[in-house]
Amino acid sequence: MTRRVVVTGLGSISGLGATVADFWSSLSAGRSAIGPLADIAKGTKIAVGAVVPNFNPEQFFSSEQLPLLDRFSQFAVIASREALADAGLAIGDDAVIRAAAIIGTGCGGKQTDEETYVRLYKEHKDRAHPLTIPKGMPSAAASMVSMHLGISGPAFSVTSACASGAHAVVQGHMMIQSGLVDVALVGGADAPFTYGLLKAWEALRVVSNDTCRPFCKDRTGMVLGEGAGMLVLESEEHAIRRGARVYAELAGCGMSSDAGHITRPSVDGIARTMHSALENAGLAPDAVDYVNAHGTATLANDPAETAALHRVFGSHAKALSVSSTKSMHGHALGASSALELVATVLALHNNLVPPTANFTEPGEGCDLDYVPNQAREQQVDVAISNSFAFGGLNVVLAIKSFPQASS
Amino acid sequence: MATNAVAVIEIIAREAKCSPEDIALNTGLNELGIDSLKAIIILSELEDLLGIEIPNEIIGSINTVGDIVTKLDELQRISDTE
Repeated sequence: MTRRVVVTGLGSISGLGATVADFWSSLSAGRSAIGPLADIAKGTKIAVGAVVPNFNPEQFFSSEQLPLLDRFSQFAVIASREALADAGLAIGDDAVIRAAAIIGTGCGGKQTDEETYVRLYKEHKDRAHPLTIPKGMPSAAASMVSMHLGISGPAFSVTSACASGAHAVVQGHMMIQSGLVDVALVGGADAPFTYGLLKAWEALRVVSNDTCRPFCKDRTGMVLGEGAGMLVLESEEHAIRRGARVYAELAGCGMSSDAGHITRPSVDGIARTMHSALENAGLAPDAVDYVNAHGTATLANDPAETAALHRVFGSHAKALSVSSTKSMHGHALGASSALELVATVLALHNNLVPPTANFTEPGEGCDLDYVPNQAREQQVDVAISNSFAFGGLNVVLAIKSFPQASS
Repeated sequence: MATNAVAVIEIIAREAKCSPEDIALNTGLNELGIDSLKAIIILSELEDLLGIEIPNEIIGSINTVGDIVTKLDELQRISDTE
């Protein structure tokens, strides 16, 4: 029998603040981090975003450390430190030394890359900054987490656009199940507020200039965010042995790919992934209480995701609480699915479902209970978190409550 | 044919890899294999060529080649009167 995997630590930094406490207090109050972008978006048509507020890297890193840390790596290390401490683990612990660190990122070190391109293409300088490669490589965040936290087990980055963080979670889940490691630090990080990336998003015409209104009639697209979400996963046995507080069991994962269109979501693909996550977790559809939706607020995603929920859950679909927390932390790309898993775990742990903020009235083909604007107190024993990336790369993660009594 | 129509047909022909003669104003974008992503590329080229800004919202309301031409005419009328 494969080993059970539990969540014992949470870390987050996002537009909602630099800690999980900030994150959850905003989510449970339905408070959105989306606001006007000042200088950061100058010269682009992107008007709003969810930027980490008052972020000063020097509060978190020494002047010795900073030159090697792209903004996305900074976020990854900050959220990892928090998750580790939250799990009651410390740098130097044997369990940490042997742990895995797997970080999803959609963009990698874009800020570093773009600074070098400005020097070369715009200022016609002859030399790139010597640290461009080690700082900007997409795996830099994994290396930095390993170096800063003294993690010596398997460490690498995975990338699948908006599902990157969730794919990283699956990697950790499989490593623990198979007995390869006992502890895995998993999640995602991205820092997409760079001029070149904003211009690229502008050209794709899927970003809203209003706000993020998932599943609404007047939704006008997604809103970008930034940050990192990190989780400590552990084998049940290891967690119990050291008396760790368990938030939830990561009961199962579903992955699939659409083999279809590069940007258009597929109802079949979404439905197949949710179905496979439930099957993998050994859960009946009607056991699910809460769905943290992918819910990007693009024209294409929301009705497709809703149709897939109907297909998988049948008559139970109407009884589900479905919310998109992207309405509050924005779409932090590779970090989003990890932030959303943190939100889902907290919903289960606190028996409180975060709302879909900025909700007006439901859009065509969006006929489920989206928990509009106000968090809902309800028993949450089973929840799933949906992530569907551009290119048709899908992940659904299923969690269930873990009876501490059994420890 | 009006200049906008000529420009639109030329750009669509290039994206759809067909001859401009095969495209009429009432030709559906679907028939030409123009999906949402190709439509975005076409709009971007038109913005460049005509020096105008085309709002994102029009994507949901263009089904034929003529729909794009009509939208462009409207947008230019608005910018002329501004």
